[in-house]
Amino acid sequence: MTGPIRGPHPDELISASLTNDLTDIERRQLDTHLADCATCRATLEAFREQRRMVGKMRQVEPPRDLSARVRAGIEAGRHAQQPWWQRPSSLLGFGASLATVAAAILAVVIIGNLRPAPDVAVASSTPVASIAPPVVSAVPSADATAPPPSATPGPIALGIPDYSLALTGPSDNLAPTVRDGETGQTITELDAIEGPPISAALQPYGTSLAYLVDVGLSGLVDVRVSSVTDGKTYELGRSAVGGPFVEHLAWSREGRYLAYAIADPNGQAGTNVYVFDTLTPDQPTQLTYSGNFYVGSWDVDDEGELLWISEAGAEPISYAVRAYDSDGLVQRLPDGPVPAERTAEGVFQPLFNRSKNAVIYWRGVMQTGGSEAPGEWLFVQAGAPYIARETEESALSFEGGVPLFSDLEVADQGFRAAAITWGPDDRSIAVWDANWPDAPSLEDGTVYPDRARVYFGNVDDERLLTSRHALDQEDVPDGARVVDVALAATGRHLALTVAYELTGDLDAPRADLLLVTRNTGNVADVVEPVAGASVGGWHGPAIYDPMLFDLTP
Amino acid sequence: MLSIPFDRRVARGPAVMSHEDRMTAHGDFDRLFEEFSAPIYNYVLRMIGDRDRAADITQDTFIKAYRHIDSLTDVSSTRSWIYRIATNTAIDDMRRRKHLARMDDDEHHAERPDTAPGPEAQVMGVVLDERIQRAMLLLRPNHRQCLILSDVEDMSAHQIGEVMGLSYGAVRTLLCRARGEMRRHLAAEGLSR
Repeated sequence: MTGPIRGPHPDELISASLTNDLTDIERRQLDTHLADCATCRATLEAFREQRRMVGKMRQVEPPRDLSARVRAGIEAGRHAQQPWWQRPSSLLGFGASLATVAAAILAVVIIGNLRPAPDVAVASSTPVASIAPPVVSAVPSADATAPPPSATPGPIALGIPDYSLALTGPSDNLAPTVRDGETGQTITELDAIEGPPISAALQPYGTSLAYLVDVGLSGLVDVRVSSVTDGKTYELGRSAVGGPFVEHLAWSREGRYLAYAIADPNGQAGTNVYVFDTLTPDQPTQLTYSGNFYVGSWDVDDEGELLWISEAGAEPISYAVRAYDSDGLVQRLPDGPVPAERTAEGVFQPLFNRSKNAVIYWRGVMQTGGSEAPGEWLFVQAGAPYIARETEESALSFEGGVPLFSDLEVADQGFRAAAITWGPDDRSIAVWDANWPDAPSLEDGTVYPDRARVYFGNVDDERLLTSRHALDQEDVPDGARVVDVALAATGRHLALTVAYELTGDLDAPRADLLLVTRNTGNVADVVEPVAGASVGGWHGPAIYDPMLFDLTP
Repeated sequence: MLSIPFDRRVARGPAVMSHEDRMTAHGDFDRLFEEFSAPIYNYVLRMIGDRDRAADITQDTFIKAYRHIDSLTDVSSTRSWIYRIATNTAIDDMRRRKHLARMDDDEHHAERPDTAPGPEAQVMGVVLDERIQRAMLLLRPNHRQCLILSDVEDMSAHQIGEVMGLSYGAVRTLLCRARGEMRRHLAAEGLSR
């Protein structure tokens, strides 16, 4: 045996074997696996047959006039910049004068500049509120209509700004479906669930989906992982409903492991970190036992992957630990001091972007939530999210962080918690469900931060997030609350899952999935409900598949 | 692999291009068109599923190739280069149609493949081809692209990466997903288990 194969069935290796895109080690791994796995042998045979069929499709002759059309197109472009009296009256051959060749090149530039670009090309890296923004108390905020600073070119080569996966159900249908966002086509149906899905995280290679399900009105949440291809589902545990700190799912960079937290429904064991290994899916491993640990994000160093976990307390602390050994087996952490490769004091729940050139994390004093959220650790003093970024002058460091909300002064109370997500472009960020009791009032009487609104910005914007980065109030229907936010790699598109309040005991949970195109200046955002959302039921959450975009440096 | 000797003197621009240079460049372009017009047309046709649009996109592809021939710095990459232009041109076309469809409040109808047997199937004239093509048009655009590049054009993951602007690993993953998706669609057509 040459080592374990990722995932229950190595479809990727089988696929790559058809074009000889395997290393020697991978070839040996695959051969060993195939000898014992009838399912994979059938997959290999099906893929081979498919390749043979597709490869034998008949070639079609192009139109006979194609050559003439190309020739005409070249001539038309070549003479587009000439005064009409200098243009030839008939098409020439491919030979041309120096002047006309220059004109053709110039035409490309001009046309390229004038042609209405697709949405993704005009995406602003700095979304700006389209309503008249109120002014925040202490720190003056920048002009919302100012041009965005140094727009980062998005890695948009092939992706179309549509959500890729939408988990839908239940209410009238307890079997949620995973759908293709672009076509609406059902990719797979999952096992029945006892309530609505409230957040989801796609495994980096797109083969598995981790998601949380509200278990009716019981105050419990199920953690599940399902195969996107065949719907096979694993129940990873049942947790007490917690805030955003608990409800955080983190896939490892290679997609083999999922880290998540479980808050003991009985309250006795507190909140602990678990790791699910896709190779041994029936036995998630409890990593911590002290009852005050939360999941941060995966990291990597020269020796392999690290998992950042955070210990809640009056002064929180975060640790980067080896979650699995050299054989890939997940090991519970020993009692006593955490065997950490790195330690960050005062830091809670660090969320690295995929490129690992920026990290968002929390600072402040924490306590268990008391009567409002028994057993749940929240910030009670000076709680706020911070962001640290790598620059040309300095490496990424927690010490170099600044407040994520640049126009908020956090003194006594601050945030208790908030939900935060990175976009797949590694630059976009969104914050919602901002829990700040007695949040400051703005001059227009509204509170800021507002728990009902979504704050959407870009790490390359010097302002980071301000009150002006709130999505339009009209983006979310009256009476609805934002359950989940997914960001597209365009830096301009979001998918909001918004749930409606239940009006009676017999009401079924209802949520709409709204695709928002963020606009700048005084132009209102464009909000498009996903088809079918208006007829009721539960739609969402959505995921923008990072595989649609090339994020490889 | 194509061995058209693109003369890099073209890259110096028209100000220094002699009559002889221009004739060489145009000869190169003629050979490029001769060798790739049919494969590119078929590639786009598989992608789009519409003969007229495929012809338009192929036409635009070669016009762009002519105008940007100086951006081709490595002759050995000619094949990837022309397929990349075709890919981007096809994507632009799909985006534009999608945008227009939304403006027309047409519920994205125009961007969805027409899965009914149409004129294209009649042109192909082969029932099996028709069913395979129908299954292929149900794939996501990027899945369709990489599957065609792999199984029709016989490109390696590295070459597909050059065309699609993706890393080697991303191509392998995308291809795996495409094959899985295609398997289901072929099964629906009764062509796979």
